Amino acid sequence: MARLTRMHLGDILVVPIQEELHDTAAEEAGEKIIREADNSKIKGVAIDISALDIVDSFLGRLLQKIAWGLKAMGKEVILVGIQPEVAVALVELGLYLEEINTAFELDSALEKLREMIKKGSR
Amino acid sequence: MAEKNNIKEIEKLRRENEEYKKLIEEMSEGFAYLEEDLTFSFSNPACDSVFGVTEGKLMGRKLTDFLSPESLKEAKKNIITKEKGKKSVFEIEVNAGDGERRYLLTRSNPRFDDKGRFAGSFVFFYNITKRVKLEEELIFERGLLNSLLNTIPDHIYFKDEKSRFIKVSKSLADWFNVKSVDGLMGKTDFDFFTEEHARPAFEDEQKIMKTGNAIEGKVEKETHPDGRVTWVSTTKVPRYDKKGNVIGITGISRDITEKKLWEEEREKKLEAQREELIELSTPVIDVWEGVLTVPILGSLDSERASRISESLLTQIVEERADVAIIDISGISAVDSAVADRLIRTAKAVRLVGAMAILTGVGVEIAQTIADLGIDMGGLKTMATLKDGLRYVISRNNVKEKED
Repeated sequence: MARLTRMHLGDILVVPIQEELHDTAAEEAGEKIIREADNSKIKGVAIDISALDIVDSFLGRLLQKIAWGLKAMGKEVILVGIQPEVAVALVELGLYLEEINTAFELDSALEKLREMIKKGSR
Repeated sequence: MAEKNNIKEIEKLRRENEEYKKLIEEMSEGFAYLEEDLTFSFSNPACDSVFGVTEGKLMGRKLTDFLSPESLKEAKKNIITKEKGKKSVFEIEVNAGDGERRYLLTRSNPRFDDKGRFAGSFVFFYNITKRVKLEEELIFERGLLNSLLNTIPDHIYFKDEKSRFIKVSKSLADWFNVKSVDGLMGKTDFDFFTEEHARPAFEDEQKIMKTGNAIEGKVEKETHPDGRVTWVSTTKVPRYDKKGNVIGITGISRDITEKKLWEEEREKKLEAQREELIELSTPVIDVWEGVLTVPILGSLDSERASRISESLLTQIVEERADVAIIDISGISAVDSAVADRLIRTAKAVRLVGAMAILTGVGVEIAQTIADLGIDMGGLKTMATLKDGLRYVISRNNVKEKED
């Protein structure tokens, strides 16, 4: 399996997903993200999927599970760069990911995430 | 005693003579004796009949009175002879006394006098008008067929039970760039087309022969070995022998390549126009910094809904818009399918990272939505586009103040 890039930007963990992940590889990646976030310094996680043109139902549900897991751990989560085709596909699959925040690009995602963290800690 | 015998002998001869006479008179073939100048000096009733004169009235008349110049020559040549025992058989055309034209097969047995000079002839006449007329008819029909095969631009072909050409029109030979129609005899489509067309055409023909069902006006794509592609409209029917056994097919194919290309061109134009219309009917307007508006007018079917989704989402990402206002005040009717599509679009907008606001939800539509029990899923809705814009602007102002 390809290495999963993880970046720490202050109290934010950034995970860019560069390629399509299938089955076990995807599950492993999910586990890695959760383990990495399990750190008191980390307050928010941005998962960047702008490189993905296709998201199948498996990956869609996995993203949802990861988000729920992170939320349960008290972290803020944001999905970055969902492509129009991916958005349509997710909606068709009934995966609205309503409780997860979204942003076009990393820049605005980090801004939103910081805002959410500020509100949350208030 | 001898006298008695003599009388008996004479009686016998007389009877025999009567018999011969009767035989000749009752014969269905015409029989006549012609003098050396071709004057009838004897004729039986059958002979009078083929020459179209009342019984007994042929005697004294000349054969030459009844003949066309060509037949006259033929008759003289064959009847008048110096050769002993020379029997000749020939055909003549007769303009009979009753106005009919008859063809007679004629057999002449020349007679000679003691000095060996031609002295006339026994002649038999057989009426072969029917046969000659039939032949003429056949020749006429053959002429028609040939004119059809040589001049009609449609490709006409006759094939045997193994789908081999047995007769074709000139146009088909031209189509294959073959000099003469003989160049096609015994060959099949496989010799002139690639497998792509030859195979299905062969299978069609075998099926026609098996089932007896013709095909009519089938549009076929012809693929030539040089890469050329042509289109024809083809009709093929089974062909039977006298006993009713299938012995092949008869087909005709019309070149419709030009028409087909024109149709394709038109289809493309129509498609382009349709797309243009759809583009026009789903304008995404950049109304404010980071605010896009889509006014939806008319009816919303699934194709249009998905196009709206597509163009809105693409533009949101391109423009980095953070709000998209979908105005449905111009929509004619909202049913559950339309509401569902609108909600899906709004949700997809949120997924790419912007906020969707549904405006123009009037009383009627609100009621429909409530009646249908559709969950708007936390989607932001406003009564009018104005309200939507006001909301967005005030939200931006708050943001700016915060910054």
